[in-house]
Order: sequence, then structure tokens, then C-alpha cells
Amino acid sequence: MTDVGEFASQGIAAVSAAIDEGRLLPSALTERCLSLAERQDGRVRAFITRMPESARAEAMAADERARTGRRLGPLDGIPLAVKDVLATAGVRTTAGSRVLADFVPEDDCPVVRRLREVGAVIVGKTNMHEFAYGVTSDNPYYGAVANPAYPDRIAGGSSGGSAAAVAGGMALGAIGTDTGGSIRIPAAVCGLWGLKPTHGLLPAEGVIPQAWSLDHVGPMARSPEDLRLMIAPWLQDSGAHDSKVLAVPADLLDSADADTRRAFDRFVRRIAPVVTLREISLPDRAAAHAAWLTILLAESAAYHAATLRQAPGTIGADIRPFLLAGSLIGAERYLAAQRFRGEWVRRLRDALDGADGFLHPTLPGAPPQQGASGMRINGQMVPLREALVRFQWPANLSGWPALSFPMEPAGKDGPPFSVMLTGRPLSEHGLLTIARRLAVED
Amino acid sequence: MIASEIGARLGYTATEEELAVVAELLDALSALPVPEHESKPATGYDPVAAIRRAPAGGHD
Repeated sequence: MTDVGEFASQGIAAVSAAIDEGRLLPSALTERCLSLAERQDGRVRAFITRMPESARAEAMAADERARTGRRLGPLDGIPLAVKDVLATAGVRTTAGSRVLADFVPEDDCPVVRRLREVGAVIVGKTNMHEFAYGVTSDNPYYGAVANPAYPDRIAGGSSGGSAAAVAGGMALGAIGTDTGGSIRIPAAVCGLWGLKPTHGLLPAEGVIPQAWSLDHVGPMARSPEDLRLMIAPWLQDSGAHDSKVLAVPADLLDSADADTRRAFDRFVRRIAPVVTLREISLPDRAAAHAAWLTILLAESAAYHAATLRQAPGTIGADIRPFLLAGSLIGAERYLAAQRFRGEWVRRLRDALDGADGFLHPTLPGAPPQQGASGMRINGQMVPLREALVRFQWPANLSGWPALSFPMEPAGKDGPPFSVMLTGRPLSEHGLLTIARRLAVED
Repeated sequence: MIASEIGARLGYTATEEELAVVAELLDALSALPVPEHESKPATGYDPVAAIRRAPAGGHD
């Protein structure tokens, strides 16, 4: 047997091949992840609940299937972590809140159920921003998630624990959720690949919502190959993608800082021989952002209405004002936002004018330092939440798939700049194929 | 105004800090166009057709 750590660093596809060939046992791999979690998690706080006993049992069952040639697919025996908004039978599901601290679901949500059906080993429930309502994963009840890859930077949020678990080797992949960037932001600041799939591709049933019609469930991992394997239970790769034309929304780039624009320019120059790039403008950005925010605030306030009335003090102070604002939005404005949304998606499709997707930096600046409350962009201090969400919400409002990946290797001063590629509905495998061509190996 | 609305809806007394954030958020929503009149409601419900279908003196 080769060293387990050597395999794990190669990602899910390599590990799965090694299991197939009898060179690695799922139980050895799982033990390594559990041991790394045991050693690091006092400092990283990636998990709210670790699940070593059930993980060991699942891994031993996977060992047996591997020994007898009955593997259930490439995820069989692969240690994965899931954000603590996904319901897990018999294991508490807190959504990073005090309100749900003792909530133990009776059933797995469909995403967890499907992962177990294909043999994945669930190693734990990951830490997050309370009720997924923030970008730092600085959780008042379960601790602030640290970034194992770049310790001086925030881990991002709201799926910060999922990113930290993968970056710290405590899982080979993780599931997060994304309502305004909560998969892509932590993936970017931890140097990972994060995919917010088409709305509804991974079902949100049994997932504690932030805002139903904007919530997306999706994977984070170290490579596009790993992401491809993680979405395969829901979307098989048809193999039919040969995308050559991408759009760049020039107006968005004006909202990024100078270093990020320079990094993106270098990226564009490097990929120019590989794809044709066309400049576009995203339509009606101000109105579309207002529509996204209206829907977000109203839907989350509706979900939390009873708690707001009965026990508002049990909701964290940093998210309470958002829920209060949402409670003041009437049906007329909410419906206006949903109507505008449909029209805006049509305009977005027209703006692409035949391009297969659009590219821009994932974040408007370098990943923020731990403890930062804002980002300085073009001489202006922008509150952290507003800055990090700035490029994210269009993919939540449209429901289109969006992939964040490192656009160049990390420099000596910090994490890599990441780029986001947004495509048409159900083009996930195509996006991963293009991104593999555009990305460079670190 | 915002404080009294929150009080009326939720029975909650918001702090000054919370009210400042709420005001900022509500201000950010003002870019959303809210049409005063629409020729066809997005629900697909057509009140004229409903009246025509209804029996005399009845309701749809």
C-alpha cells in the first residue's frame, strides 16, 4: 500500500482509482481524514459535529464492497463533509444557530441520502455563518472558522467550514450552499474549486433555507475532476461540450480593485489563444441587485418570522437587522422582484449574444485578512459583506451555474486570485471542461 | 417610522444600530422598479374573463 496522505492530496479521482485497484482501503483514507480533523479542529473549527463512529462503519462497508468488486461508483468510500444545514438522520442539524442547537432530524435530506446511496462516507457537519447569513463563518456559538490554507485570511462564508475541511485535508470534498456566493467565496479564499450548480440540480429539500428561491446546494473540492464526480449522481456528463466563445462583463470589472483587474488581465491574455472573448455589459445591474436583495430579505424573514416574534434574542445580533428589514417588505414588492427576475434572465440571455458563459474575478479584491470589517476597493472602504457578494448574486438571481477556480498560482503574499465562470442552465460539465483548459496547475 | 412598523409587526423594540442597518437595506431596495399598473397580472388571472364566465349574479 502507498502512503494514504499521498493519495489524498491527489484528489477524489486518483483515490477512487487506487481503491479500484486494491492499493488503498476506504477505511485507511477515512482514518486519515478523522485524524486530521482530531488534530486540527480545535484551531480550525471546520466542524460543528464530527461523525467518527458512523464514518468508520460506512468506510468498513465500503472496504468490503471494494474487496469483493462491488463498488457503487467513484464516490464509494470517499470521505466527504456536509454543511450543517443539510438534514442528517439522527445527527443534529444546527444551521450554525442557537435556535436549532438541539434539532435532530429523523431523515437524511435527499442530497445526503443520494451521497450515501453511492457509498460516500460522511465525516461530519461543517461549521458556517449563522443561518448561512454572512460571509465570514465567524460563528458566535461554534467558533470562527479558520482558513487552513492561508491562516492570515478569513475562511469565507457562509460555507466556510466546508471549505476549511477540504483545505485542511479533513475531507476530500464537501457540500455547501450558496444564496449569494456562499460556496464560491469560501472556495476562492481557501484556494479551492467551488461550483454553485443550476438552481434545483441538487435538491434543496431538507436543507435549512436562507431564501428558498435563491438557495443552491453544491460541491467544493480541489479540482474540476473532483467536482465532476461530486455532481455526477445528479447530472451525468453527456460529453458534448466544445465551448469556444465566452463573454467578459466589462462593467463588473470596474468594481474590482486595481490588483484584481491586473490579475484578471494577465489571465485573459493567457487564455486568449484558447477561447474567443467578447465584451458585454450585464443588464440593469442596480435593479437586478435590488430584486435579489428584496427576495433574499423577504424569504428569510418569512422563514424566521415565528422566532423573530417569539424569541428575537436567540438570533445573532449581526443577522437580526436583515430579518427585521425583510419583515417590512410587502407582497407587492416581493412579487415585483420575482416578476423583474424573470424579465432580467431573458435580458441576460440576450446580452450573452451567443456566448456560452461569462467570466470575471470571483472577488473584487484579494481575500480579506482575518478580522477585517471591509475591503478597500478603488480608494473606498466597502463593508465586507457588500464587497464579497458584489460579483456573486447574478448567478443566484438567474439560477445559472457558476464555478469559481484559482486563475493563477498563489503569490508569496497570499492566496490566489480566483475567477468565476457562469454558464447557461445545466451546463455544469461544460463549465468544468472549459475551466480545466483555462486553469493552470499550482 | 421604521421602529414603529417593526414594533407593530413583531412586538420588537429595535435598537438604534439595528434601525440604521434596516434603513440602509430598505434604501438599497429602491432601485427595483415596481410598476403602478400592469396590463396583465403575472398570476395569469384575468378578471374580465372571470366576469364573463360567471353566471348572472354569481362569482368566479
